[in-house]
Amino acid sequence: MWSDSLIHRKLVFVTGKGGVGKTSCSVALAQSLSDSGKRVLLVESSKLPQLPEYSRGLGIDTLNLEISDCFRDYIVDNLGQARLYEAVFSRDVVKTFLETIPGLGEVMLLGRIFWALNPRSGNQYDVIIFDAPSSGHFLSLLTTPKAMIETGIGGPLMGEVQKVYDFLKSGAASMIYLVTPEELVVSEAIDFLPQIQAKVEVPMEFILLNRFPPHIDSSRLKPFLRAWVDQELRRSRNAAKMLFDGVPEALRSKLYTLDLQNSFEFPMNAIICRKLLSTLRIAGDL
Amino acid sequence: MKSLLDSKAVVFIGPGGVGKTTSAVVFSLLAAWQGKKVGLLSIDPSKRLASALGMDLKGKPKLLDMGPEVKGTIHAGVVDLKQIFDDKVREFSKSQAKIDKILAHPLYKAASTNLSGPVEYMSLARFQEMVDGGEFDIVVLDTPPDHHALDFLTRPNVLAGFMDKKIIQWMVKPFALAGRLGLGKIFSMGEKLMGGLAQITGISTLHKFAEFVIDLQEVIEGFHRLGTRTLAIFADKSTRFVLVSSVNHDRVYSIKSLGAKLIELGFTNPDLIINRCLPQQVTDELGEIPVGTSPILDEMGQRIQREKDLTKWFSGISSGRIIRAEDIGTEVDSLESLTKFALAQSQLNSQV
Repeated sequence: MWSDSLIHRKLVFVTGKGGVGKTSCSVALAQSLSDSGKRVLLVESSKLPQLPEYSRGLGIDTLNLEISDCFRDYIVDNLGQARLYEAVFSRDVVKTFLETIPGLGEVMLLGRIFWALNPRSGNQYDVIIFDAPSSGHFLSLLTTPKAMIETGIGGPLMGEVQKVYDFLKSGAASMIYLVTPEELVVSEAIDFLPQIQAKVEVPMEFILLNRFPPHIDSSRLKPFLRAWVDQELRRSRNAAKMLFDGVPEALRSKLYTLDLQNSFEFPMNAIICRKLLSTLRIAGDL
Repeated sequence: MKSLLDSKAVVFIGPGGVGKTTSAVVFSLLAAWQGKKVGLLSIDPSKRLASALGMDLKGKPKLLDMGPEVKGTIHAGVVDLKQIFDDKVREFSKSQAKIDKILAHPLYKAASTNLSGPVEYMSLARFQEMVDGGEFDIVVLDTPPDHHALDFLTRPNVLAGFMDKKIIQWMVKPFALAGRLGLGKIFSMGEKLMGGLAQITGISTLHKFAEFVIDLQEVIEGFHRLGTRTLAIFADKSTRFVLVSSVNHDRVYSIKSLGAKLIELGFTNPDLIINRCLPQQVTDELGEIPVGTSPILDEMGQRIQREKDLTKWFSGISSGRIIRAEDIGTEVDSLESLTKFALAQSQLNSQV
């Protein structure tokens, strides 16, 4: 089911509030696409990279894109200006200056990911899974190209930004938004989803309600534990209902659940990835 | 060790989804109950939490209505990028004509409304204002999640480095020269930076950008002073850093890597809050049930393991204290439930 609807995508963003399971789901998704014969690259952009550790042993390529590396790759690999880079852009003082220019880091990051899909970069990937920043930063990231274009400044760099923007709009990219059955997380989702629909032209692939707890017969448990378990189940079901009622009408068919896993081992292996994805269900069944 | 409540500034840092904002709010409430005048600054609170606290999304920090039994006060605010940016341009620029020109510039408009980068600088600006303003006994800062917190904590270095690394000389002077002599002249002089930038951006773009940077010179210098001052606040003994973690789901790897990085950056001996710990009675009854019975019970068992794991790890990297926050089984998202939660926690951890 995953690969059916994802088969034509070249870039998939995985986002959601912090702590909802973005990295685990990105890895599981990459494994699933790899199982179906795709050449997959897992990407993150963080000072605290997690993907190599999470996906250790799976044999899937991972890449952490820090902004300064994106500059280097753009100028040296894409523009072929190695000497210019050495003379100017590799200097600390220039790096520091560029770091302070708003929006530049964001377009460089998107541009670098776009470049990894270009055969000229020497890469052979069919699809990139981007374990993206959490909701607010993600929204800024994806709205930056348009905001830059709207400033009306032109030139070669903005030409690149335009290409990235066109790519994002082309349907070659899509996004997966993750939620967990907790009220605070769900209320943020209900607030966020209409915003991203309005501001970003990248289609929504799935909204995944992750870690949905399967039912349990609590009647044989001792009193404190029983009360606690009943309450957790009630809370997650209420949160799920709140999500279902609060999601914009047009996105309701995109809503799926993934079960809370019995034991979550770390790093993930192919069996865990497949097991997690095997619990994928349409949320309308709840 | 002195109590956290005696600090002048407390900075909350943690991965996403661990209850960072909630912890910052709960701590502020406790301080206010102790009679402190608290300033609370949040960068991106959930709408729900913000509205529960009556935090207006615009303008300067507002006084929360907590009823007559609370001796202290809380002024809570959310970082409003455009507002603070405008304020700082007005404060740092010397002429009205220049202020008008900057505020109307398309690059400025994009930077102050659409782009994410400047949020960190503006939060620092507001934080520094609140600490140095003298209006508060204690300023509580809720930082952005994950590695964005690190960006935030290292921003003052970048700002302060503007002068040390001669950025002004490197960047602004060539631009100023280009403005006076024309870009063509500069390129023929073999100015490497300008030539390099022009190859990437195009000459006309560079020209527009150069003009803008010249206008911004005083603002850039202002932010440099701000960065230097914030570094001093961060380094002051009366500023404390609190790492927020949770045993809920697997955030342990993120917390450990963030904590290690924090210490590596020189923010040594932070305190640790562990959120969502299971109550003792539940823990005891759970202990008798074999693993593999049900995912929900297994996840609870793992919460107990994670608490032990975090406690052990933290004792090895910091001499700060560990504050254990028990899950109270309901959402903590109204002023009433937050206060109830805060008071329950203070009894649990009599030493907050």
